[in-house]
Amino acid sequence: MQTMPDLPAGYQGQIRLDDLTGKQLVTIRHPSSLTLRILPYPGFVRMFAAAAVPFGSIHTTCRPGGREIVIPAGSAHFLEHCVFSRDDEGGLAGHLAGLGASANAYTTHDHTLYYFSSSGHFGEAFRLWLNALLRPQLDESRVAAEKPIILAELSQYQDDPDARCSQLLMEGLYHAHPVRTDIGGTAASVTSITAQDLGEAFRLFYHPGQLQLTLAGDFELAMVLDVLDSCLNGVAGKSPGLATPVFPDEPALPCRQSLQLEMDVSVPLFMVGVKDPVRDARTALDGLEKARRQRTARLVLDTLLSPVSPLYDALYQDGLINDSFGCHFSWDTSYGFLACGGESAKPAEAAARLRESLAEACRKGLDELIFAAQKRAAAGEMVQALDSVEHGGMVQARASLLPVDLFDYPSIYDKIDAVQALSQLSFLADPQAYVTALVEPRR
Amino acid sequence: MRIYTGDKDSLPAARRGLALGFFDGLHRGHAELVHTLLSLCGLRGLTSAVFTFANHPEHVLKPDKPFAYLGTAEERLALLDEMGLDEAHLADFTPELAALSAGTFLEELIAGRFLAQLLVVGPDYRFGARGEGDVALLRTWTAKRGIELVVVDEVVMGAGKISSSRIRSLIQAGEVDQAATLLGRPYSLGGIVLSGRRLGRTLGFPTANLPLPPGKVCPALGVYATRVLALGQTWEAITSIGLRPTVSPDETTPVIETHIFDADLHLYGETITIELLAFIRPEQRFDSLAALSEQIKADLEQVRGWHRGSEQCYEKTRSGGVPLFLLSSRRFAQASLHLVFQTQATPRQLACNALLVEVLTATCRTYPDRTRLALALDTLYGASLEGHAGKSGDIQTLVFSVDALARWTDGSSPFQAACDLLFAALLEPDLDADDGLFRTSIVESERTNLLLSLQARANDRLKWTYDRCLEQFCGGQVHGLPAIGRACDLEAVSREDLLESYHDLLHNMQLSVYLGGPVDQSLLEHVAALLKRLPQAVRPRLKPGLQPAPCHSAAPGRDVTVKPVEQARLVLAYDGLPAYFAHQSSVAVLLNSMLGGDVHSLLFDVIREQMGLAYQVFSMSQRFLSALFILAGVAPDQLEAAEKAIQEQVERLAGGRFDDALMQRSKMMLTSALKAAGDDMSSLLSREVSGRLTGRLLHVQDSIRLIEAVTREQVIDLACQLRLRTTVILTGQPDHKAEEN
Repeated sequence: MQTMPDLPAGYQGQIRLDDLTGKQLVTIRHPSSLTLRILPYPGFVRMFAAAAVPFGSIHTTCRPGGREIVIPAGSAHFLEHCVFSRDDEGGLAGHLAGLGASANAYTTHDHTLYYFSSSGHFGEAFRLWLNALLRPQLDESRVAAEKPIILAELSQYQDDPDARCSQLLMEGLYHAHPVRTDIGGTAASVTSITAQDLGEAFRLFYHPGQLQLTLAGDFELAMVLDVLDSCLNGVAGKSPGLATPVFPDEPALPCRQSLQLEMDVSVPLFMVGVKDPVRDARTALDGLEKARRQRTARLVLDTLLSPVSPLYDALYQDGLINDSFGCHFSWDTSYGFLACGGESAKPAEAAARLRESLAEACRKGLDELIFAAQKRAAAGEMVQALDSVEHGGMVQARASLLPVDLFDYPSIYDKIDAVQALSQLSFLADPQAYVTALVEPRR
Repeated sequence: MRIYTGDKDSLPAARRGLALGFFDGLHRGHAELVHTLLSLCGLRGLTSAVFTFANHPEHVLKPDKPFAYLGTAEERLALLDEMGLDEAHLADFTPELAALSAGTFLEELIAGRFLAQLLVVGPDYRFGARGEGDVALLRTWTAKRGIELVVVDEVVMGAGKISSSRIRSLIQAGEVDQAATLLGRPYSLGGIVLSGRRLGRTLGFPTANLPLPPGKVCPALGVYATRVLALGQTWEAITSIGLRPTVSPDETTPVIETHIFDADLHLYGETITIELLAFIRPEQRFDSLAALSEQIKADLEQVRGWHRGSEQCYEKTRSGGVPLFLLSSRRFAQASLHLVFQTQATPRQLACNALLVEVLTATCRTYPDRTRLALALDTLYGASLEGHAGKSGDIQTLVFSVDALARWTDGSSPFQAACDLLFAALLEPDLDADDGLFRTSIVESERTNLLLSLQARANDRLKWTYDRCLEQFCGGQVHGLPAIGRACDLEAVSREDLLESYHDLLHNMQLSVYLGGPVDQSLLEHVAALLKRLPQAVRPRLKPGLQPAPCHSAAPGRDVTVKPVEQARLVLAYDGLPAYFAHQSSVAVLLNSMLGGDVHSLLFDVIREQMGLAYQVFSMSQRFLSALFILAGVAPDQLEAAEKAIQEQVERLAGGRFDDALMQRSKMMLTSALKAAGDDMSSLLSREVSGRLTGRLLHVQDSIRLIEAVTREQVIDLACQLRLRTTVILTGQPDHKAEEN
């Protein structure tokens, strides 16, 4: 790690050279307290930018400065739509298209991520995009115009068996935690959202000190700093204080263990969820520890449930799962759960076998050989990700939410062993923690 | 291709489609004409033939004016053969032939001798004494005779239409890169390597020397970045074409001297071909050999750098007729090897081949269960080995690929080991010891997987509606089926069928191999050695124009299905886009982007943002069907309004009621995406595969220029050609009351 020379007054910067990949990561702290990470890609044409905002669908109650603020469900997602507000010239997306840049964004339970990429005119596109992000149109007319589009989006998910199955699972896993509500909110909550709600949420979560910017590509640093200075001018200094989220008490065990929905589907679906009881205090964990836990969970899941595992193979050979089978572990300071599933001709049997076998596999312990192979695969995938400007940029953008550098991952993998790893996910061995959600054809 | 010379050869009685022209260089304009001929002959059941001359008419008509060719007659015939014509008729252009009247030419030769039912010509085609015959005369004559006439538009690239004379001028000016763009391949010079004075070897850079081939266009004298085809391989090289003023001041005939990088080849007496890629500097006279030597060292460095930075894909070698294309790039850590099998498939074969791909990539003799193969790949730092079945029109493409890190920090090559695994999967299948067929357990679990995936497409309402529209638009042709076939065919595949398909895969399908990424000599040699393990076979070659075959859209139709859905889905299919091999494809790409290909498009802006009629609405062009599809999800009570508004956007383009900003934005987005493709090895290799399938292999920069050159009038003209053929709607009562238990 070396300090960057020749930065303007008020800036702090460091350059990290990674031994494994030979690549650099530049981290700069803007005087406004915004953090920017740059992955240089010499010789590449593509340029990528991402902004991670720590505002997701679960942030429905906050207590900044002792005052409690209630934010309607779906506000994070609504705000994401408003950043792409349109005008007579097509709004942000239209203006960016004029520069050959394409932008997108997504909202999760715990964050919102905006990104765009271009193959030229990056400076202009970066300026437009950052301005839209820092100064979205949040008036009643904009909110009224966006509502039917968001409601149509929610209505579309009603026809999507995957989305319905996932939602069913969340409702089985959680009693009260806002993670049980769809990321986009409900039709009623979206209808109730006002410009004032969005304005308040914006002031709480979109302060430069909360934003994590990531750039990847072949840039001139001076251009980047110039854009930052001009866009952040007038924005800095409005911090309302830390937007500490507040969550209701959530029982350790699931709300319901078995849920079923009948829909017009040609192939049934199943999902199995396992609830992390969150018995430890997690709010004070540093970025590296959060990354270690996240990566550990990933290695355990790959060992137990990816095509390399005997469990996956047995289910596949017996025709209970197909290629669509997938699993993920979602984790934050206030909740955690494993979700896995996919299409199946015999969803109830698939779910039952999965529940029994997964709990049993956890009781037996991890296969050391498979676990070691997953560590190598994960380390290799980090290097592979860096072959792509967008992929590398996206991996770093997500890592910055913790916050860590993506170059931290290989050393994290080195330190994880199979026994420790499984102990972190000990709740997988508890049959009471399991929930099954099925989507079956209408009878 | 059968070659007929002179008018004395007796011809088999056949109804012919005939392309007429000289075709010097067989450039992109000529290629479009030949592809059109092949396509129409395929549709009409005609023998495809070209009538041309061995010598250029200018030799006879303007004997005092020197004339140089882009290619010899042999080269021209070889290229025509490669394109897949049935016959070539080669005549000597003599004073007697020059004196033949246009009428006699048509009656005696075209109708009488060739029994032509179809003529394909360029707009400038002239024939008969003093060039009295032209396209207008042809129109009158063919109409009277009941012969079909197709006049293929000239192809415009860069400063104007592509012509052989324009390409000759570019080569003479040293603009060989531009010449290659118009030709569709680099300009080349070939011959037998002569014994030289070995001056190069003395100076440390041995050269292979050739005389300038007589009759061919002489490029500007100077130094070039080149590739050399010699001893069955292609090598990166540097070439000097000149009079050698420093060492041979009295030389009057240009000599070609080529130094091949990183190889010490003995080429004296060998026939080699030199492809001219880029002009580096003009020929220069130096005061001393030392100064010349210094300059050559600088040239070597520059050209080596040029090769390193150019990242061009080229055929490196062939093994048993299988070409190995190499795209070397040092920007990436990961290397890729793609084995691309292609075949014109029946519906049953689609299903059988797709199942075969899954079975082959599941296990092999060394790793007889899936988990062990997966473990081996994970151990190679997350290497991937995949099989994929795709489809372009009626051509099924089966890709077996590995992507892995070329080197790990310990010096090992995960990629090399992954390539070994790929060939083990492909060539050492895990067959049942008793009956020699694929094992039942593997076949059945892969069949279940595919069947479920196929059936699950219907879980996605928009995909279901699109699939139904596609099937109806194609009227039962294989073009409209999924790449993995139909469920009924998949269910019927037997283990015996699979073994037969496996044999077909290895022996009867076109096969091309693509190697990309940071490939050093040892990796290249390793892959070349693996290729030698493939069985020897005479594999067929797809011929753009003929294969993929064009798709005829079915009669116009409208289909409405009622199901319990929250949102109605609407898919509209238009025909009228140009053929996949046509130069006008660039206009179609731009039109799609303007209509609904992106978030700045008319459909997104008007239907979603302004009218709030849909959350999801977009268009996509299906170039192998010459069709454009529009897909939308709308509230059932707004279906009619949405359908009307969507059709109005197509009419808006046809009526020219769009501003220039829309077109500019689309151009910016498309060029940006094209540039981005250059940063992604997988996209670069896909471009190569697709370019060879369509017969329109273009460098990224050339694709960008074509998009930038599209005019407003071209977009309007093309939009006017669009005709709505098929409408499929899925609608009904909301499903939100789905039963929860």
